[in-house]
Amino acid sequence: MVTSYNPVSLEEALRCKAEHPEAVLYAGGTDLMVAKKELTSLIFINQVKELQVVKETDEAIEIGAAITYRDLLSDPAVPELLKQAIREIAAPSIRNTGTMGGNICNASPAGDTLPVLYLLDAVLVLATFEEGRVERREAAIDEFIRGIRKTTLQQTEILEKIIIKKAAFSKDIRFGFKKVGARKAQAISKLLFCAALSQKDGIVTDFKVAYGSVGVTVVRRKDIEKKYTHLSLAAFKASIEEILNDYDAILKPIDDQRSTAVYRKKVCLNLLKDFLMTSYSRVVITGGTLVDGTGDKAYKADVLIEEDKIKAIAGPGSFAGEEFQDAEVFDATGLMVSPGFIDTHSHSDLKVLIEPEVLPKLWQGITTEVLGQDGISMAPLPIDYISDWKKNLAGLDGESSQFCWKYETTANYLAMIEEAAPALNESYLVPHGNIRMEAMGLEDREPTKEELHEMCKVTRREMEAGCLGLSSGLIYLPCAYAKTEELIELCKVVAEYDGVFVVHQRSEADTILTSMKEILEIGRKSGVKIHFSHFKVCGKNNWKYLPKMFQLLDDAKAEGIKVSLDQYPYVAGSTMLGVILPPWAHDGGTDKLMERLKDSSAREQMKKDIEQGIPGWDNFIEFAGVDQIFITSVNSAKNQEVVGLSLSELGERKKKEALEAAFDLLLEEENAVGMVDFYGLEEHIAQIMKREEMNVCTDGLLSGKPHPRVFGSFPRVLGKFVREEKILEAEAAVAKMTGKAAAAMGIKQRGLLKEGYYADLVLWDADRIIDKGTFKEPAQRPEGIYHVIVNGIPVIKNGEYTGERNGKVIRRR
Amino acid sequence: MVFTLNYKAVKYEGDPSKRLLDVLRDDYGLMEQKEGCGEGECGACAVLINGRSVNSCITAIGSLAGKEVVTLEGYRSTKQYKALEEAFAKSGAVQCGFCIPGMIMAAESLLSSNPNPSEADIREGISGNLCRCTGYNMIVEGVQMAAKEGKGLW
Repeated sequence: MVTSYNPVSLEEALRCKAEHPEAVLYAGGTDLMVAKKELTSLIFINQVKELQVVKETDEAIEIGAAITYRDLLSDPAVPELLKQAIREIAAPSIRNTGTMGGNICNASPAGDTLPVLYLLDAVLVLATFEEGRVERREAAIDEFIRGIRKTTLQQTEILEKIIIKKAAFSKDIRFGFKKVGARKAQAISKLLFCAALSQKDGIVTDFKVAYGSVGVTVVRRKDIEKKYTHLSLAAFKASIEEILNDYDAILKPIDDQRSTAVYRKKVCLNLLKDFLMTSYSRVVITGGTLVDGTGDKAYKADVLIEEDKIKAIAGPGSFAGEEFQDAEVFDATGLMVSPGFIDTHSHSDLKVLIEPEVLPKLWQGITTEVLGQDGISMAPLPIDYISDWKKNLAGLDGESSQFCWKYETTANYLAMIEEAAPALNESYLVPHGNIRMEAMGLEDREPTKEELHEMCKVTRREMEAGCLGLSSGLIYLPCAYAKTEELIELCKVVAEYDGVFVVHQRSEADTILTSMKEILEIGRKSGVKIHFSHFKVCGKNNWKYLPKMFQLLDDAKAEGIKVSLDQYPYVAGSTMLGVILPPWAHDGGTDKLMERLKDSSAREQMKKDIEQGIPGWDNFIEFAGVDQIFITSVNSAKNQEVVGLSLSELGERKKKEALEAAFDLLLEEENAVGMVDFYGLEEHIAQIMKREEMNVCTDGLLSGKPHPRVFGSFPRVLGKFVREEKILEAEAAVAKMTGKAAAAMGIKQRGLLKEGYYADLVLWDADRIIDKGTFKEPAQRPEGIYHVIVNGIPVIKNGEYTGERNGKVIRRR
Repeated sequence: MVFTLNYKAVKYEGDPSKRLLDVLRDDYGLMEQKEGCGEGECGACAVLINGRSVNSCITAIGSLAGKEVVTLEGYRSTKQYKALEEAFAKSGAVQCGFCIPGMIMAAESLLSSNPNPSEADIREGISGNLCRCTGYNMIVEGVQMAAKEGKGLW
């Protein structure tokens, strides 16, 4: 039988170890018990009181070697960086017994706390009992660990404590930390990165980097660090490429069951680069005229950005001194400086996962998008509905098999966006149609009480995941099946979170007044903030309603309903061609629609309904006409030739009636056809634009031949409606692109040029800014936008994309 | 060696390196704790030691002198267990049941230090417990529900 000892004091433990040098020390047991070694004797040191304390002195903290990770996590004296590493270890049950002393003495190349301890220059205190007393020696951690599971621990020694100097983790130091593992918990790392950088008066005082799991021991190269310490911050920042080359030369990871050498090295260098680029990054914008997003008069001032925030705004020349020489300077003489534009109605939902640069948006100065629009988007998405839903979405968001669709929830979808690392900030509304699908499928009926309850529950879950609010598109399915009552119930949940209800209303044509009343009723009954999407009225018979629409907005506001709206500044809209069909044609989803399109009697009925109209249904063919609806995207290669044609031209090409040809196309493309339709007049656009509730959006569908708004909405407002037609002052227009948009969506700390706000900025030329895209050639970069900064990092410089992707996922707080 | 097992002091005189899991099953007939992986990865063997969940398959009995061990058999007599049991039943959190004793221990360990956990806290709290049936959502919901319905117990 194994002999064991249970000392309770350090001296007792050391005496025991001195007498039984072959005995194995047991602290947390989490490695030892897995190793299943033949044991003859054990010394349990988990109850030795001296090993259980954290002591704070003036200069350092001393951490007892046998304190559990769990207790370290709740100790305020333990450095945050170390806690970050500890949180990554295994799972709670392991952290409830595992100890840092164990992690050190095991000396695994993948020990999660080790890189941090190397980085913080931890010193170990090793104790023995010799000649009747406790003797101690100190060893730096990198001297103590000698190889894989090799240390200089002597047979009679016990690791007593770990000393970390406070100077090593002072508040002024910027730390980087990342563990890369195959999963969030219970993962042995593929690699672990940590780094420190500090500066005083513009001189680098600390530069340290440590990597785990990429060598037999932690990789830390003091020679490289030394080379770059004591440089001026400006010289340091100029040396980033060189630093990366140095680490590229010395990192020699291996292939093993957890990862490959190539992957490890690439990620190691990327993490380092990101850390170096973002730490102490400073940008000075000088000589510009600030249009700050509040609507207040423009003024001349300079802006200092530090890392991801606006640090200071002050009079011209304020940031020109020597202490700013490390900053990247943008000469904004003759330019306007404004907050980055916020696109409150965007359809980059799918594209951002596969083309995270989202260049059409960046080029026009957009730094934040709101996804999840029109009640149908990516998440939540139950696994059983993936294939049907992909078809339903394709017209709005495009198609892709480049990522895994089994993400199910908004939380997971947002995490995927984060993984994709977008170039601009992304935020999300939970779409009503997705909620309905998860709770009750795609049928045309009212929910049962239980299903409505379930829908509220899903809404709550997704709001908790960080959605800014709820969206619906009451012409799209399954949203259109919903009655007002259903929406009121969901909006009550959204209102609890002070979220916004963003809605493509039931009618933008004949019955628009009833439609608006419905939405305002939802605001009245639920208390939710209302935001009308792409506000407009379609069809010349309906233009007369515009004054009454404005009256409804005024009355609602007087009553206390919070109302805002967005608009894209074009007289044509873009959506999916499927909307030309009467709603019943879509019942039961895309597969059912395909069956109906194959059935000649169903086709006849569709044509009849289109010709005669159905009360309450927005009949696009009626208000735009087959001459004014153009095909903008199809999925299949063989139909690419029809892209750009109007429906009447399509009919001529196919030698059929226009509607028949359109039905055939929908059938061949499984409903994935995009379109634009001309609906209104420029003067209506201007009238809506002047409304106080209005902010600008793109409603940008990115696939196929897009609507020019995807590339030009924001510059078009500033060029055409501000400069050329003088509909708005620049200050008011910018507020409608930034501050007002942020307020409408509940986005915090963005949308204004204000100290402490995130540094999203766009620098543009008021004399030159203009959109260039046309309906024939929509994909044209706008002019007059020179620099775009996202979270403190320039992503467009002199009109060119820098390759940086520094966007964040914005979650409601 | 003396320790507390399910609120009663017991004396153990066998091999101190024996796994707690084996001691519970062989010496005391307590079968709720299951051996899943045997190396601390799956949480099926979790028990409470001084109120915190620990994997009994990688805990040597000799390390527990003076400690309080609670297994599901003992925990069952508590109000907290009742709240979890009811919530797990309501949310459909139990399918084959193999992971559930460990899940309950993980939930108790979480709730005792954080009575109002967010969904993320719960997922973190059970991150060391594998379930091959439910996909976790119902279990997360169960813990959430227990926290809500059993307010004041933790």
